[in-house]
Amino acid sequence: MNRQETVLSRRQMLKLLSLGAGGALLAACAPATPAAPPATEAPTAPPPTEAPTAPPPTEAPTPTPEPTPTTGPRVNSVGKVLPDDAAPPEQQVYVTAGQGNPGQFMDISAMVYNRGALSDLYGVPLTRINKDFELVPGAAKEWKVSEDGLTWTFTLRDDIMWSDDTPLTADDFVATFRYMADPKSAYDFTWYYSKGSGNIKNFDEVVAGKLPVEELGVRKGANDYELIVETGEVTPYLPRLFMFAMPLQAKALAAHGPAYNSNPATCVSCGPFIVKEFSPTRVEVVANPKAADDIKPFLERMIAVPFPDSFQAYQAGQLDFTGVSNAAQVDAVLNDPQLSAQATPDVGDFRTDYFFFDVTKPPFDNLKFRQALSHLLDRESIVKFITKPLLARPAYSFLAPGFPAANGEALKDIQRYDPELAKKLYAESGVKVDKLLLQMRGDLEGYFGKEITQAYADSIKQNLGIEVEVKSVPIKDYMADLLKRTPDGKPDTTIDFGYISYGMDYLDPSNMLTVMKGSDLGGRHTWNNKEYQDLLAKAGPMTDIEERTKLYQQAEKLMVEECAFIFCIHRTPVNLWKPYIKGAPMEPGKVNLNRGVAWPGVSAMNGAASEIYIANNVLEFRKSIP
Amino acid sequence: MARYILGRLAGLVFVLLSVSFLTFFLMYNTPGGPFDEINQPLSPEAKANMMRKYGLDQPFYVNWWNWITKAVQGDFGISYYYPNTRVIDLFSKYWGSSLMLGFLSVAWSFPLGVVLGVIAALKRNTIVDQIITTIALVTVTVPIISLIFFGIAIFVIGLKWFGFNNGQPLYQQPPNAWVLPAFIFGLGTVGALARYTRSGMLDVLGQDYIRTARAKGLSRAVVIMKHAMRNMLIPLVTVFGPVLANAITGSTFVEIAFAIPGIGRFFLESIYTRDYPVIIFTVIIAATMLTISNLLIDIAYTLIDPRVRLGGGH
Repeated sequence: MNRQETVLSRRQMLKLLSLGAGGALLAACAPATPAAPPATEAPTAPPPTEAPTAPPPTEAPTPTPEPTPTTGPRVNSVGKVLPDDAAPPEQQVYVTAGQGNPGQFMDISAMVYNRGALSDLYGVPLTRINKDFELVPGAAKEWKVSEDGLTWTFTLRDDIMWSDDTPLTADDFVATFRYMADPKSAYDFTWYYSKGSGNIKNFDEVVAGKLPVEELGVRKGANDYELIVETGEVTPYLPRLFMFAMPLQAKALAAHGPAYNSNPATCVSCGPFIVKEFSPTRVEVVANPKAADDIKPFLERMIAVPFPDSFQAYQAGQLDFTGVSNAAQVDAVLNDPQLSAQATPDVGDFRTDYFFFDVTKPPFDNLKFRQALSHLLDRESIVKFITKPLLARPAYSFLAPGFPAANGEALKDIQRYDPELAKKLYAESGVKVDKLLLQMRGDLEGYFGKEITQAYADSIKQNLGIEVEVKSVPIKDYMADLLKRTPDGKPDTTIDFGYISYGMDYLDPSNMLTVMKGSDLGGRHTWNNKEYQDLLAKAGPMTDIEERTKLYQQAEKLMVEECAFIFCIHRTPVNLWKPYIKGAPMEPGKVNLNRGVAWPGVSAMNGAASEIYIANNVLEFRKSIP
Repeated sequence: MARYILGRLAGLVFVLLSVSFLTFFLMYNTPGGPFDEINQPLSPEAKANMMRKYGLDQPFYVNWWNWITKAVQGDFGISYYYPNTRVIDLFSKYWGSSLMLGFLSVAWSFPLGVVLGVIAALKRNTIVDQIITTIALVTVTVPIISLIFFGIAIFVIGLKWFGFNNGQPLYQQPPNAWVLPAFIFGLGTVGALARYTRSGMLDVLGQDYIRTARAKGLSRAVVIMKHAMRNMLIPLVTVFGPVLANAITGSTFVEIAFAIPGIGRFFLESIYTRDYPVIIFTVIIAATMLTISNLLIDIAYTLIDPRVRLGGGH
């Protein structure tokens, strides 16, 4: 045996070490194997009672000593029977990017705009909507209104328990409403229950510190399960509005403050889930074993990782759901058969993107000039070439198809694309301008805003010879400017010509149309039309739905004719759902015609969090659970 | 030396006071604020409640002074957006991810950059030199955002060899969550270091004392390792400070792209959301790090080069 055969040269040794190190690195970087079941943490499932597990066969014993598979229904850790096509409990994990908001509050009643991922799963709102946006009972099993229409009595279910074994009662709702109105809370969504919206009696006065919280028009009724809500005006849509009335537990609120659900140690839930892990970059919730039977979820866990780019994370197989919101993502979806099969358009929150003017300043105080501009927006081409029909519909009015009192077809002609008419109206207006500044709210860039505003600017330049500079402004700066008021309350905005959007908070025309009520009444735009304001005021309290709808349609027609707003697109956001997400909320509905959970998503407000599950084809797609 | 260090530390206090004052001025005078309405306007009363609750109804200099008096006691406030969490706790939790990412990237890129630079200098004007110079040029000139884009498209979405971070600190993650970010983040440093080292080494190799050492009969390896490399250390130490500071505080793009919960990501989010307590704390930390790293570099000079004396020495 010579030395050459037995001893490695230094060069060979280095090669081997390099290969070994490289191999180790690649092995370490290989995708992880599917997550093991949380064997020790999940409580033991109670034995199924509906259909007992079949006894092991005795006539033909299996040749191997392995345990005989059970054939009865499978239950998850909180005792909910899983559907036949469901994956095993350990795979009942839904992974989402959350709401994308930075924030830590977990309840809409604590704070709205700084809610974290997986919020609103820890209570049962007074009312709910179903997948077809129909009003259904929530924590309140029934409600009635007094003859004068000002006093509502909500009868609460008596079988909803908090996870600390105390019952959900009217006291919790009273404490929640008092928290929202209390000036010390500085709640960020007070407008929702204020005059002109929720109209809750004394709400504005309490917010302003003129009355104590005890004077608020929300109080306990004859017993623990009766809640009385008084309104300052007749508010027939109040039950719809109360889908956001998510209770905070009075005891926890007093002991730990409004963010008690951001801490697993202080979290108390009567909803489908309870918080297990919380950090700004990851939230994990588990099924609430104390939830009422119909509220208990099929899912064992929900995990939220607020990926900065959820579309990429979905493509990488790390998410079960994502939205599609820009041209590059649309192309990626359309060019990928697998993604295309998973993509479904959705009505979302019936959002409409629109242009607006400061009608108090020239040249936009000139109706004919505004009308001229309204005829230069080629919505059909925008939808065909920019957004693609998958993601938007042309908007000729504010209320999107499917929204109560929507009337787009009848109003289609008023702001139609007609460059010749535009030129004629411009000539008649007497306006002579060379240049305009169009300011877009920055977040609309995420929904083709740049392309749309540029197309519109080009159309104005081409037909009227007016140069339009387009400027995108970050949302916070934009809204600060738009809502700037002089000390005496007059608009003081520099946005004369803007592009913005709005989506509903509750499914009633009053919600969408009051956005345009005008700055005199606390609205965000400067179009203060008395006739429009009167129509809204008259329609709001009406209980005759047909007559009410007529008034709202009349108001919307007036708004379209006045051209203070030029409506551009109704969004139909496309969502991607992994094929293994199933359940009743995923099925096509009457309003949302495609597969996918409708607005507001997987939440306790629509019951979807309790009803979706992971189907048994999950392992064809999911490599691991993050 | 001690007097010099004390003087520099006193200067640091002045720097931090100035930086914090300027930051408060800019934060409070930039349009928009932390609690601007996104959709529907709040009533003036509700808005006033919000401003009062967070002290935003006070002038910036009052808030600056309040912050200073609390900061010297170790209280840096509570984030507007994470009300259960003190700013210092937020940083304690996520600092580790940025540190790990920074150190990993420096750990592989700094030595490799130096080695490549030395090789390029020793093989001057050969094909090896040209290849190294080209690679260095590409890694320096291609923006990191492009490298991130290609890295994610190929290795995360396409081949699925690597993944995005799952929201937990980097040091709790398997290697497939940190290898690619650390590699991409270090690429620019490799190129910069290789170019810097090559240029410095060529300068040193042209010096008389190198020729003398060779003439004395010393081997090439000894000359390079003992004489050339030691003199190369001074310019390398000069760049090591900023490289390290950038590695720890400059990983914002990488952190965001790979969903890594580090301070860079929080800093950017805090600017977007106008989370003043987080902004001011991050700025102060970054300023402190940069100042201290410069001080340490100055001290390191004295250890490497006996000719350098600090604090007025001869």
